[in-house]
Amino acid sequence: MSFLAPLALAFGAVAAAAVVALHLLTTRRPPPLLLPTARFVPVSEARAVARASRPTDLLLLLLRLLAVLLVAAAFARPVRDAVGPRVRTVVLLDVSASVADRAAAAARARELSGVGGAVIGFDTAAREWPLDSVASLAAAVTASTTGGPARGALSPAFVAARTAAARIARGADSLRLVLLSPLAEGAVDAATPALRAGWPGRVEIERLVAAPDTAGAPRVQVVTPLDDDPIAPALDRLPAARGAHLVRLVRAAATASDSAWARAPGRVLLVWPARFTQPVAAEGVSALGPTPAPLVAPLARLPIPLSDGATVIARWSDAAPAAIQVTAGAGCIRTVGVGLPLAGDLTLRAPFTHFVEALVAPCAGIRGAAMPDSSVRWIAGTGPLAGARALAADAAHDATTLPAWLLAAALTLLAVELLVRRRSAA
Amino acid sequence: MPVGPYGALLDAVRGVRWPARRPVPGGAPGAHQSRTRGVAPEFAEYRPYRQGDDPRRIDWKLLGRSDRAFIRLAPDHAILGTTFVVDASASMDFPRDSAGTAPAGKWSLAKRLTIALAAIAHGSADPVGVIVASAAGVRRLEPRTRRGVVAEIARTLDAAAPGGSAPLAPLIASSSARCVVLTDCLGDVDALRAALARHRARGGESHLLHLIARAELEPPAAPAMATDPEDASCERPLVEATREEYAIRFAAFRAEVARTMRADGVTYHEVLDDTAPEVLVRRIVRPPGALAEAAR
Repeated sequence: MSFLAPLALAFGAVAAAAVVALHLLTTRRPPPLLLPTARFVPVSEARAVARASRPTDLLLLLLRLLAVLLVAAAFARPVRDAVGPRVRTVVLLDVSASVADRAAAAARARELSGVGGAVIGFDTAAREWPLDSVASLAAAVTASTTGGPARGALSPAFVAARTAAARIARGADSLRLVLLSPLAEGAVDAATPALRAGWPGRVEIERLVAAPDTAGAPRVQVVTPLDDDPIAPALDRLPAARGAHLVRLVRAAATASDSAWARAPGRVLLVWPARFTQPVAAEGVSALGPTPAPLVAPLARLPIPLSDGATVIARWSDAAPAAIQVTAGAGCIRTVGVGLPLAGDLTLRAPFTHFVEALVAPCAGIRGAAMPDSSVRWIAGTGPLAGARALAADAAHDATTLPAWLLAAALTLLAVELLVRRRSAA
Repeated sequence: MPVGPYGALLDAVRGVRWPARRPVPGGAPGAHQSRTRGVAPEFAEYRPYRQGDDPRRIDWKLLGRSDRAFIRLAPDHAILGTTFVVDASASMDFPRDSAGTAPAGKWSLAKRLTIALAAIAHGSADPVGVIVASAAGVRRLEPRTRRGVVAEIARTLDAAAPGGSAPLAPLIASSSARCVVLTDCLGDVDALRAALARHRARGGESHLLHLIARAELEPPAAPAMATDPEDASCERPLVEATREEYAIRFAAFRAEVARTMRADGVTYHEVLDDTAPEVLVRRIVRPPGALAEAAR
């Protein structure tokens, strides 16, 4: 049992002492004294303060003391300590598609977590996984990541780590945070530095073996009737390492041979008709994925064939589909309904490059290159393990119902005290 | 003389005289200087013979020398009847002597002073009597000069038990020329003052012995609910906050009683119960001139 606000216990002790003192200093009728000159005593309240050698009304005193102590205990916010060793481990397990052997990673996470620890699986979201057994954990991880995001994001992982730490920290001395991830580039976003700084200790990192397609660069085959396709500069500007998969960009209607080509594993057929219009206003479109790629420009909406099983991979600002993906064998076919402007330098800008990058990502999503060692060292940090007390005290939201029960008991005692007081007064 | 526990006190005051404060009216021969001239051997003065004078008091030798008749006068002495009016109200039973062994207390002091003063007055051949006013009524012992009257007074006082709150003022009118009131002045003090003033105006002597217990001056320090034994409805908390005001009020009351009594010609004495009775007796019987001399 621990108290999140132990100072309330001190206040309760002071209040209890005051109650005892009040019972010693009762305003009661002093003992009578026959005094012939009593007429010269000033007229005042007949009940004078007297100091008793021992408390009177022991039952009332007991009830009041119990009520005060229960209220103090309730405000001290008692919580039950979690079972486990003095040092407990929170494991952040990357369960995204960037991990080569997720079952082995799950087993390792279970091994590291030990008794009283927690395992948090994360990709673009994070949640705590059960620790019942290695097999169940591995199965859960494997099942959850089928077709999931291509790379993990550290921000939700740190948030979940903090929550889990607050739950298991009570009764422990310190907390150890272990990160199991290939740490692909893009795992860090704008919120990650602040969230990392919120963890009061170092992070032990074990880099997992990344999936093979995170190491090479995409090979894009462009089939276009245009002599000078405006998308070409964007393709040229793609980062060097963006997956070792094949991409065929078709700027006209897809043929049967194109569809057959896309059925091979790791292939992406991107159908993006080369229709240029003169839009009158700017439109916003965003490619969905772990890192959204928004694009605001004078774009035109082209019709796209929606069908069952199609997955929207880009949407207009009004949520209308802008690009869809259909699974074809071991590969996929993507159809883009975004018409580019006739003039301008839109295709030379970075947002357009990011938009294209999202569209040519592997069918399971963009995975990314390995994170630089400097970033890894920054994430790991230095110093001791995180103190359990700070993390447990931070768990203000993790309140139990015990304080409410204590308050209810205190109110009950006060009601009984009122009845006893009325009965004794009668 | 069977006077019980008062023997030591009577021995201590033996030989003490209690002269009258001023010449007493004529009467039976006694120890007090009388306002009349008598036929005592001591010569005082001559007065021309007037019709009706006793011819035996004519100084015949002077008549022979001067051929005029003169009466030979001498200072006369008379007795002074003394009545003790003793307040036996409930307030006099303080501090209450439940065991009956403590010599202190207002009632005990009143009895001792009465007996000692009665013995002194009786030693001067004065008739002495006592009036005791208590809840049981008024016990009266008429002034007498016979032997054993002091013992009778002692028995009368011992038989009385303090209680109630009988008024003292009506008893003054029936007292002797010297009226000695022993009271704590917590009863009908205003009426008593008026009665003593009237007694004084009639030519009598009025003495008031104001009895005060030390416990009244310095009540117990512990907080208590002070209750008047003569008035149960008078209950007031005597605590730290009221103690000082009580002392001030009580002192003012005593000063006011002393001032008004003395202004009406009453011989006033404030006596404390922790003072030896023989000391108080000598202080009470001291003549006014001796008092002034002692004060100087």
